[in-house]
Amino acid sequence: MNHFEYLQPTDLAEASRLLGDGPDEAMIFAGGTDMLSLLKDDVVAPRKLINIKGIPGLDDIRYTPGNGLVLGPLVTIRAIKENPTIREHYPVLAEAADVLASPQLRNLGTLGGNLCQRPRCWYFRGDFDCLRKGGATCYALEGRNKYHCIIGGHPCVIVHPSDMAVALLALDAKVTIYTPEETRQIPLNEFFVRPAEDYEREHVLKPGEIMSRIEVPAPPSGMLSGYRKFMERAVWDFAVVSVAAVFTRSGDRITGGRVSFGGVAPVPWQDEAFNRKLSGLRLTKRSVTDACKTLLSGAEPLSENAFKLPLARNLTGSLLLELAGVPL
Amino acid sequence: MKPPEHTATPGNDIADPVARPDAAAKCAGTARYLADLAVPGMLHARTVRSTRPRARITSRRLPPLPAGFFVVEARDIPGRNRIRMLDDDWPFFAEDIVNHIGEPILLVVGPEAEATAMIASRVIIEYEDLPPILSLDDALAGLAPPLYGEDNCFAEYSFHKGDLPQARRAARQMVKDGFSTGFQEHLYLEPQGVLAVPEAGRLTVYGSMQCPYYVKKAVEQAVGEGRHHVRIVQTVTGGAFGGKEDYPSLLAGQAAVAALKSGRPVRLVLDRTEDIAATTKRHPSRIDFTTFLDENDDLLGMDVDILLDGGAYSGLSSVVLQRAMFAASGVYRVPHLHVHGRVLATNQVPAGAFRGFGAPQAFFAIEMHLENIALRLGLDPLEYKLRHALRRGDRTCTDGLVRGAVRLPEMATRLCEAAGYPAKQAAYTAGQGRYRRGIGLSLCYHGCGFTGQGEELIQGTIALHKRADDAVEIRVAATEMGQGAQTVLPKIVAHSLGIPLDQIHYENPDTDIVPDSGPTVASRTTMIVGGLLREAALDLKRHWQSGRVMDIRRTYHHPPHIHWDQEHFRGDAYPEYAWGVNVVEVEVDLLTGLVRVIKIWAQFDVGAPMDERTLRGQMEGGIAQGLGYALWEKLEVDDGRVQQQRIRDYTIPTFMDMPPVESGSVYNPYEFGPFGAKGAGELTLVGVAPAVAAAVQQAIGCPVDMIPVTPEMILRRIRNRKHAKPDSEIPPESSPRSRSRADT
Repeated sequence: MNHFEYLQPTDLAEASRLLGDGPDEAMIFAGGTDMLSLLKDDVVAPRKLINIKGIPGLDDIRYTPGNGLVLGPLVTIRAIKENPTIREHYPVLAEAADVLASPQLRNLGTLGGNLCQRPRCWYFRGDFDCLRKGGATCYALEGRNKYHCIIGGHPCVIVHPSDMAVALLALDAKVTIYTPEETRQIPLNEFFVRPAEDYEREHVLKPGEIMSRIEVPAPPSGMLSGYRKFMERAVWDFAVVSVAAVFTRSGDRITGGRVSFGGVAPVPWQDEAFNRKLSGLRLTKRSVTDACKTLLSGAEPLSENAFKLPLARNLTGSLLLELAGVPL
Repeated sequence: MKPPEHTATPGNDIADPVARPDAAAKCAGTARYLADLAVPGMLHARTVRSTRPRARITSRRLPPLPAGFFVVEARDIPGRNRIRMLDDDWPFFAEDIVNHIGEPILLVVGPEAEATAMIASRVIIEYEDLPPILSLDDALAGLAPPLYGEDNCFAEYSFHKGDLPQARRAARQMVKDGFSTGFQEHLYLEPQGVLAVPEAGRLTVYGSMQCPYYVKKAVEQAVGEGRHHVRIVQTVTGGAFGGKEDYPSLLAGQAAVAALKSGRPVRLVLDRTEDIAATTKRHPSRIDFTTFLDENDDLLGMDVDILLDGGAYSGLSSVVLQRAMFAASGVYRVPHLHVHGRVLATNQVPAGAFRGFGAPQAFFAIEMHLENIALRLGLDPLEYKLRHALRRGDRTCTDGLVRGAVRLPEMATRLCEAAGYPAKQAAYTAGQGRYRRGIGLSLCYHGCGFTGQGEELIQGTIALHKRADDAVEIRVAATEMGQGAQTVLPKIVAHSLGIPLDQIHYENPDTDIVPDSGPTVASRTTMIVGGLLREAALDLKRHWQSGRVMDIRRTYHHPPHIHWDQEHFRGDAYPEYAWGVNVVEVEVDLLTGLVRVIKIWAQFDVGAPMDERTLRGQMEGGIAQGLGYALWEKLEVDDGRVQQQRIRDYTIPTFMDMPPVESGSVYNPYEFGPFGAKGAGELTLVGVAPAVAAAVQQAIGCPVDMIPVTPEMILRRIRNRKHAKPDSEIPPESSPRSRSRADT
């Protein structure tokens, strides 16, 4: 692990200034659950760590009926998990927090950190000079790729590890980004960077930019939502595949909604074609199962992860039917 | 359960649990593990390792070394650059050839740990690659030059019983089966480490280890026999599971040489990645059966072929193979038997000792094989297995006599009743819907004490030292590594002497004080070492004189009825056997391939428990580790490189993954064990995987012939089967009669 300077700014402007020219100079430190292991494994080696926990107002949870939910980036996963308003209005978010990591990690880990965490690929984290670390090879392409992506990869086949991002994507959340010049807001699905655009980064934050807020639209009345995460162990595992579903219904038909996936792609993933078909879909076992058969149809599984495709389809089908109360 | 008591007064049952003497410091965080030790003037060592599976080293380029920093390599070894083990092929440091990725080439040693690591990372080793042997298939193909001997085989044996060719001719049916298993990593919580301290004419090595005298002999060979007084002291050891049987010898030799070169104490502690990538693993295996049945469908003959992957150096492989071979026909009476086994060399991390020592691979295979034969015959596996199980007076696979009572039938019957095995076995075969249940059964034994001639060769010696204050010191080389030796051995002595437990002292072994009572392995500590301690204690009691210093020693010899012919593998391969039965019920989600273990029932015959709670610890720990072996733990080596290098990549079960375990033991005392005790440490792991695999096999209706049984393997097998048989009873995605998980 390298030596670094540890700085504790008290406002965003100062934090932004301290961040300087980028990750070689300085990186943000919040819960530290990912940053410490990145440092210890020498995956990153910034000269400064900028602890932003001293900046007031970044750990708020505010819900306004009609306007929706505003979350600060320093809100802990535990706070989301235990917030009664979130549990009531956004079950998908609370359920994603429920199955995230372990109690110790949920106590420390923050929402912003969860969205900005680095991939879990064992070549990236291990002693391999891989593409994402500036090397020339994505070792997973020819190597052990059971946990890697089945869609949207190349030239690097990581999966995005966040649970919260998958839930927020299904909720159509927006991210506010503080920059010294202006504050801008972008949809969450524009926050993540695909390897084809840039395989050395996972999000769009530029040097000096800080995620300052996450906004979730007000839930339409009667909204159903849920999160299912396939883990090999009962706890303390990243998603092999996860799915978040958010929809409204009228009678036995879906009237609108969105499904998103974790564990299948380098970014939290949406199958646009499938989401378009959701509106009008009959909530019967047959039609849901049929619709799911076309999910992720552009997938190109690697040598060891073809199982993720049926897994994603099966999880989606059963989640939609469960939420709709249709017997499986 | 009774509350813990600190003293075991005479008349108390020895099995009554007492507080573990090592527990308080471990729980409070005050126990000092190797990495917590620092002595004045201590230097830190960091290993530079091979990055090639097989290569000739063409150059070693060192960065400029600041004052006080130096390197240690093969040519610095004053003695022999070979670790003293069963064979003579494993160097402390690679010389001109490296044989596996992670093999130590040199140490960088210096006063600051960080700077040492930084310098080590800047050492440039240049190689000329040689054709490697990267898998068992490579080894079998024989395309690359051999790594060991002329045939690339660390060990090859075979033994016969009866007349297999005759059985083949007489057979009505022949059944073939093949099974495979992979590497398993110990993942003890405390990584390996040693601290070597030189003093005038003396050299002391402290370390996390199982076998102080193995380490002593290895260090003596490294520093030159007779040149220094070598003393080994075990430090508090945070788990071992066999992984600290062989490898500490290598580390201690390296650190000792570094300490002699510098004249200062040198500490060498592996980080987790090094520990996973470079220390020994459980041997991968392939085991094939050709079995012959007679006109009554009974076992007539069996031909077993065992292939183990030994990695780059022989280590303990030959004895691991022997234990696997002596377990190959399981707990069954097979009149005509041929067992052939080989351990091949590959350019991978060396395989070595791991709880069970070859038996878990063999029992996975034989138990699945018997299960498959029974199912093929349309018979209940429990009934079929018990029909062939060894009984007192039977001959073992090596023609040894089964002398003790075999209580397997009542253990299995009682356990199967508790688990509802017969009814579930019948019902689950025709499972429907998304969630499918299965139930599996395994019978196993574990030979207690060393395999074959081991105990006779090592002749373990123990001592009791009675002080003037009438306290008694246990002087044995047996180590506490979490298994409970420091709980059990003092109880044996206290109960034998009839004095309170707090009058017995048992420190971590120091070879200046304790005789060589043998390594802490092979489920031998309670039975063999404890047995000697009981004899010595009874002797001490007979001659007890209050206020006087007294010393008693005892050396182990097999009871006179034990006979073993090492050349032909005939006779009593072990002095005695411990027995086990496992029943496992699982539920498999056919949509995801996820296996949920609903419950495990287990019964063990360990002779007599020396401490009920310590035995419970062994039972639950062995079952947890066996579950990991069966379902999660996958260590893959590609192109010679371990792929799962961190704890997060190598999945062991968590508390949340542990199903309810209903375990217990039967009382079946062994005449020559202390208070009737046999071994318990390994037995509890051995039978878990086959019971899990049999249960999953039943649930998914597809063969399970390898472990770990992962979700992706299950999904693939179901899928392949669907494509093969379109009208299969397994529904494509879900079936009309499926139920939600919440209902179960």
